[in-house]
Amino acid sequence: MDISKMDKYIAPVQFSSLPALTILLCGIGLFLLASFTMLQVTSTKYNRNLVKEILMAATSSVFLGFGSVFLLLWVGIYV
Amino acid sequence: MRLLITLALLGAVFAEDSWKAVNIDRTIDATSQIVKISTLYSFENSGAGPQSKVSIALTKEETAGLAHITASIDGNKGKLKVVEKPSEQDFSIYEVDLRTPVAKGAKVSIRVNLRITQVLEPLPAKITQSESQFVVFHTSAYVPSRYEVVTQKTTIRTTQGGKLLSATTVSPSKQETERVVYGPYANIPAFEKKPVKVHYENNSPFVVATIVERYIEVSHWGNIAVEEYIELVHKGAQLDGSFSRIDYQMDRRGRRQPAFQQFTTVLPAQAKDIYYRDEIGNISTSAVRIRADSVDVEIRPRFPLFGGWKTSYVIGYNLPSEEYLYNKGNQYALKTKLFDHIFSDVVVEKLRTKVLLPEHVKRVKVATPFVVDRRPDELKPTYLDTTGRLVIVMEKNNVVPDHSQFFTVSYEFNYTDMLREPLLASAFFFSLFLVIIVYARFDFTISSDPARDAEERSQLHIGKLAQSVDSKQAAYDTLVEAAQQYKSTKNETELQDARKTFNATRTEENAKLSEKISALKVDSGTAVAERASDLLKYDKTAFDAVDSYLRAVEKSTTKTAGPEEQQFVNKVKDARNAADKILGSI
Repeated sequence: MDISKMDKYIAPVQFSSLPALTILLCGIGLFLLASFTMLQVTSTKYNRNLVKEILMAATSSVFLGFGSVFLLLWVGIYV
Repeated sequence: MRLLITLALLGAVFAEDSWKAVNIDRTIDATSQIVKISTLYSFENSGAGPQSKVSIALTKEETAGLAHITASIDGNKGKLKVVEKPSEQDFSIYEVDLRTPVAKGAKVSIRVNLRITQVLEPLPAKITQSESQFVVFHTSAYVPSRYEVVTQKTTIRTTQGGKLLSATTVSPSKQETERVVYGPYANIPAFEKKPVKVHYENNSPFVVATIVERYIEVSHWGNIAVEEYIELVHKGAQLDGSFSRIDYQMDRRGRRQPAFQQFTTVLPAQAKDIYYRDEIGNISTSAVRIRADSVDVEIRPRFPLFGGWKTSYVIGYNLPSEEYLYNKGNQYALKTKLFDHIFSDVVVEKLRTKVLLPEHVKRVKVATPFVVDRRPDELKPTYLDTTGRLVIVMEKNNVVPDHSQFFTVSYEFNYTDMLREPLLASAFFFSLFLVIIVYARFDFTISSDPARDAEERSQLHIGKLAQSVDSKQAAYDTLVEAAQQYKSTKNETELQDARKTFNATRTEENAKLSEKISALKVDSGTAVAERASDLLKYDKTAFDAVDSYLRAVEKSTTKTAGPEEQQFVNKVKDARNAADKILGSI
């Protein structure tokens, strides 16, 4: 395809919104990480709940994953 | 066979181009390290019919250093196609395609621009710090031509204000302060040479970039990172003797010393996050000036470059992708410069441009404005990559500022692949969580501790007891609500249903309680279990009051809460307090 028929490429996330996104996503992720830690520390071998732990870990890691990519972009590591 | 020979002969007749050079006006600018030759040819078609191709000749020395050649119809900006042909009589031949045929007897004016590098020879080859640099330029007084030249003239421009030591005389020729003029000469036959030598002062630094490695890293998150690694060598007259910093500072020639002191690199206007450093680190003697249509970086290396000295550095900056990246669907195209400004009149011996594309690109196509050597593609793994990014490598030798042109890299990319990087990071975090989840399920105790186990189990039982008590209390609340409802609707069956549900819940929870109490007896002993068994009876007063309460509700005529509600709710509250007291004591 000829380049003159193409549009200018717009990035999916504006650079100006990166700090807010990073803080929000990493914040939620870290909060879930903290509650996961609390769950791990307080539960005994008789009342562990695998489903609850996995769900908490999954949501936390999705937030942390997106948050850390935006953090990398914010500090200038353009992945 | 005969027919074939005839055809071949006919072909030869048509292939032979017959032109006459009516006038040639050549200007040679030898003021910098690049020899810039601009020649205006006036050709006349002396052939039998219209012709659309004309040849120009270059001497072997010119061809050896030739970096860039362009041809255009004089006064017209459009570039003509120039193709190299087999050499004739020690001259290189370049064929210019005129696009439109020129009729028999008609004239055409063509401007040919040449950029020739590394042909100026320093003489003396070694100078001290206080001396100026002199160079010798070899050329031919007659313009090399494939056709007979009727009139011609050559002007060689030497340094402004510089000395002109000597120039070969080929009458009529004359030396002026800043130029040497050869000609006009009349009726010079084709392929005629007249070597001349011009020895003059040229203090412009002969700084050559032996290698320029240019990295263009494309990120679809909206950035194009450009980094250039540059090695500079001063290839002018070598510095003889020692270097004195004081003499250098006090030199009255100032910037006109043959040393390379500082230069300006012009970056695109959108350039940001500029860095300039070498192996030691950041070089603070640089400044960035933001102009209307460019960003100028004034660079002063750690030391002035004298003849034979070299230095290397890295300069890098970021560009927003929307200015250089285009897309339509999954088709993407990057349009950026193959080579960008370093300093004016730079000569690059080897340019290596590398384009790092995002991972998982397909069907990469490169379109360059001039011929480059496309090297095998490489893979470079960087942040959040799995297989590594595709690197397109292009090389070109002998590059001059005229090569600073745009090129296009087009490729296919799936937009959903953007998600791969955050998901990879998420997977990493999730695997950490999984390690913790699995680790927490291992039992690393060497000897079993029954007391501790019993303690943990009884904690669990007590938790369950509290849950059951909560359910019971909730059942009371629902009952009270149902009674309130009855007061307005007066629906008997609903009230009876609510009562049945309440009774069922209470019995069920009591059953659970007694079960847990017996479990508690095993783990925590009889004393605790006995105390816990009070939980079966704590709500006795409230439960006994249910009947009278409901009777009062049935009789009640008011639609709002009466004293009987208050009494019952109080009893329920008391029961709650009693339960909490028991739970607390266990």
